[in-house]
Amino acid sequence: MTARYRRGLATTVVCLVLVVALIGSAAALDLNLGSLLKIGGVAFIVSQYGGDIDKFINRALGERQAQAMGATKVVPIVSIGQGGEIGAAQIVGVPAQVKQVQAVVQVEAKFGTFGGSLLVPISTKKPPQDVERVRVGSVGVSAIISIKL
Amino acid sequence: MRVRPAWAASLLAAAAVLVLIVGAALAAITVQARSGEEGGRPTGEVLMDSAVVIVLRTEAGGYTPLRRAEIVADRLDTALRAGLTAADFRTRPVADGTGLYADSRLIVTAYGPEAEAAGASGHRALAETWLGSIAQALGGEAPTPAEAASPGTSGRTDYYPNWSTDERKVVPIISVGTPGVRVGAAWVAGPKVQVDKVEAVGQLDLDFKGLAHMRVFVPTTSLNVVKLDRVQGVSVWALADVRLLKL
Repeated sequence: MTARYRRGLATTVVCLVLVVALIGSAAALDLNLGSLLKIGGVAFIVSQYGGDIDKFINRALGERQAQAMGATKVVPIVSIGQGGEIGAAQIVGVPAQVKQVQAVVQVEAKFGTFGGSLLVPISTKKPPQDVERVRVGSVGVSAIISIKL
Repeated sequence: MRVRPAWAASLLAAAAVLVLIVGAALAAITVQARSGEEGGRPTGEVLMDSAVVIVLRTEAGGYTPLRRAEIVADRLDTALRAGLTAADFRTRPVADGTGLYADSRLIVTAYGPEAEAAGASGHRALAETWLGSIAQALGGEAPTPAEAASPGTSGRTDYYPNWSTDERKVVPIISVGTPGVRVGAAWVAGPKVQVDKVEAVGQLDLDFKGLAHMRVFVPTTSLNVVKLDRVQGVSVWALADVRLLKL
C-alpha cells in the first residue's frame, strides 16, 4: 500500500466519521435537516427583510385607514418547548417599549376550557423558563408572519 | 291695486329654492379617478373636475396605482361633500411617510418609494405638492408648511399614548378577505376604555414577495370588518387553539 493510497484512505475515514457524528448529533437533538434549514431560514429572513416586512404591513393598513398609532417592529417568535426561531411577529406599542423587545415567545396555555398560545414580547432572544422576568409591557402583537420554506 | 294670489308666492319661493339647489349641484366639484401611463408604467390619477391633483405611480398594500387612485378619489369626494374646504386640508407625519388629511380624515399617504417615483425630494414634499394641487382646485390656499405640520383639531398625536395590557377579553377573528367568515378567536389586551369598544379582530392576509405570509390583526368596533374601524391602543395578547407554526 503506497503512502499516497494510505493518505487518501485516512482522509476518507475521517470524513465518514465526521458525517456520522453530525447525523448522530442531529438525531440526539430530535431535529432533522428540514428543521435546521427552517430555523436558519427564519433568522435570515427576519434579519434581512424584517424592516421591509414591517413597512409592507403598515402600508397595507394605511391604505385601508387602519394603521396602528404606535411604533412597530418585526421580531422573531421563539418557542420555549421547541427552541429556536419558529416564525416572526410584528409588534406594536409605546416606542420606548417597542425598542426593548428582542423577540416574542409563544407559550402554550389553558384559558378555562380553551387551549391557546400566549404571545409574550420579551427583552431577550433566548427566553428563560420564567418568561415574566423578561416580559416587556405596553407592547402587543399586531401580526403573525409565517416564513415560507 | 292688484293682489297677487297666495299660490303665486309659494310658486316663486319654490322656484328660488330649485335654482339654488341646481346651482349648488352645478358648482360642486367632480372628483374621479382614471388610469394613466408614464414611461410605459401604469399610473393612477385623481382628478378634480378636469385637473389632475394626484398621480400615484407605485403599488402599496396590495393595491395597484389605479385602485389606490379610486380609493383616494372616493375619500376626497366624501370629504368635499361634507363641506370641507381648502383650509381644512393639511399634511401630517405618519409612520414611514406623510399623510394628507382633510380635517381628521386621511385622504392619501405619501411613502418614500412613491416620492422617488415622482422625482420628489421626499415623502413630505410630495404630500405638500398634492396639498397645493387640491387647494388650487378648490380655489383656496393651502396652509403654509408650518401650519400643515401642526396637529389636527381631532387632538390625535403620532403615537397612541397607552398600549397597556391591563384589560383583556376574547373576541372572534373574522377574515377581511372573506367577510363574515370566522377563522378563530383572540384575546385582545389594552386599556379598559379601549378594550370595551372591541367587538372583533379583523384578519388581513398578505403575502410578501413569496417569502412570507402574514396574518395582520386589527381590533375593530364591529363584527362587520369590510371597513376596518380600528380601536387604537389594543393588540393581540393570545390566540385560541391555533398551531402557529410547525417544524
